[in-house]
Amino acid sequence: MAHYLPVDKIERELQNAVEQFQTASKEITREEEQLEADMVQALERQKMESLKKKLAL
Amino acid sequence: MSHTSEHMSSTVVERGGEVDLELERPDGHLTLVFDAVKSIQSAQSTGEINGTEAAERLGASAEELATAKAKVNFNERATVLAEKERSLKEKFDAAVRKSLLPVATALAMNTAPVFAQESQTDRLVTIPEATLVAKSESREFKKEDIFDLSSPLNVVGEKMKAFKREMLPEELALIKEFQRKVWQERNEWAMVSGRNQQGEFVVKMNEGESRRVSMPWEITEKINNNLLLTHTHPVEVVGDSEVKQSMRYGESTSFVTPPSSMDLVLSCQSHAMNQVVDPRGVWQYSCDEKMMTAFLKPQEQLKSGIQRVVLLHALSPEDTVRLETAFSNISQSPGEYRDEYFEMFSLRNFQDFITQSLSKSYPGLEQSVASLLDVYRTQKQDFAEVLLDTEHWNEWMLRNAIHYSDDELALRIRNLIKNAEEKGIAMSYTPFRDFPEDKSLRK
Repeated sequence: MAHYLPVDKIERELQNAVEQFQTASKEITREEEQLEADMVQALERQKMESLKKKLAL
Repeated sequence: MSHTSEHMSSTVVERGGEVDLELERPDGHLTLVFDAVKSIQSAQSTGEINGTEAAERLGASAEELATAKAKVNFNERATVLAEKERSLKEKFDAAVRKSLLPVATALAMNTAPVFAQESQTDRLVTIPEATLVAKSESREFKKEDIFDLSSPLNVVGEKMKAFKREMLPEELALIKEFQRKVWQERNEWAMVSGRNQQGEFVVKMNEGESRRVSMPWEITEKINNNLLLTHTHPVEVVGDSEVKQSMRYGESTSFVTPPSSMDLVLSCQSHAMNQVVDPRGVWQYSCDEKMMTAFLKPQEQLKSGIQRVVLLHALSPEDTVRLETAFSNISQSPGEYRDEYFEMFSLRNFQDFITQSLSKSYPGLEQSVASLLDVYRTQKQDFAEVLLDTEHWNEWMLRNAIHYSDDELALRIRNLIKNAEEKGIAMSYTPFRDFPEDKSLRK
């Protein structure tokens, strides 16, 4: 049995959608990692400053 | 039009500009595509920002975390990223839905011949050949071009008046084409069509070889919640010899064939608006909630009852699997509703399995299952009676129909629709404006 359907075209479109999703998804993940890194860095700086203050006292 | 898997080939197919096709493939291929995309969808995961974990790692207090977050605009940036994620996912889902629409529909089409097979046991029923019908400017049909809306045969039931869906030009064009096929061909034809956010689509199909394929209707429904399922009642299949003779030679155009009881069961299963194209016009029908409940409730209650029985009799895991396997073999075939004694062979097989394989190990199990099945049979009977009543009305409608005047036929159609609506089936009939005058069109 066979279906008359443009399955190759459908597969290509799906593949494109998947690739676009994965690329954009990676970019979002990278931005999220950067955000967390920025926050950790800010926390670390805060910790350092608070330590410095304690040492200065 | 039927063909087999031996004839699969890579062929570009064009038919009068109405179809847009590329390749022939086995249906298994479509299933694979469908499954692959569903797995991609379910496997989607995006990274999480876990500030609390980072704060804990650094031994920071909640106040310190809040200060650090403020310094890097954490909340604003996180909101933007969450929005990006949401919109990306929406875009991806839309692309998947758009691509899956014709695939799921083609797969769904495989269910139709199953019902046809059971309703017409004496004829060969074949696998659908599904084709997507492309949109075309030249096919801008209007309802008035095809139907005679001023005819006394144009009858719209009170319940059907609630449905406002206007047919697409492509749907009307195919119905016109189907009208010709009803006169000319023994094959049944069908159309699945609808529209959703992704656009409109029309798939037509011809039945091929008999085969059982299960396709969850809910998938199609999820993709497209405005489905119209149309099929034909060819003269050659539904008419007796007198009818065929009379119609071929242009002596009568009055022959009408309302939806069969099997058509109504399919309607309850599909949750869609349905149409039958007969030689004289188009029946439109849809089961209402009452009918749908009468159809679904017994199945759901039996299933949950069996689950309770498993717990009550503390079946071992192995025996639970055996029982569930036997239970899954209970046919939900609509054909069983037609059995005048409502005794379903598959139910009896299930009962025999309990008696022979499990009753010795679990005292009382046999009685528990028997009482569940008794309730099931009684509940099914209500629905079956509606179907049998429908069969009776249809027979009454068909008998001598070719000899009726339009007024006589209109009276019968009005009565039939009134009766159907009382039973829970919204219904209407719209007669065609013209008929094939050329006898060559009638074979």
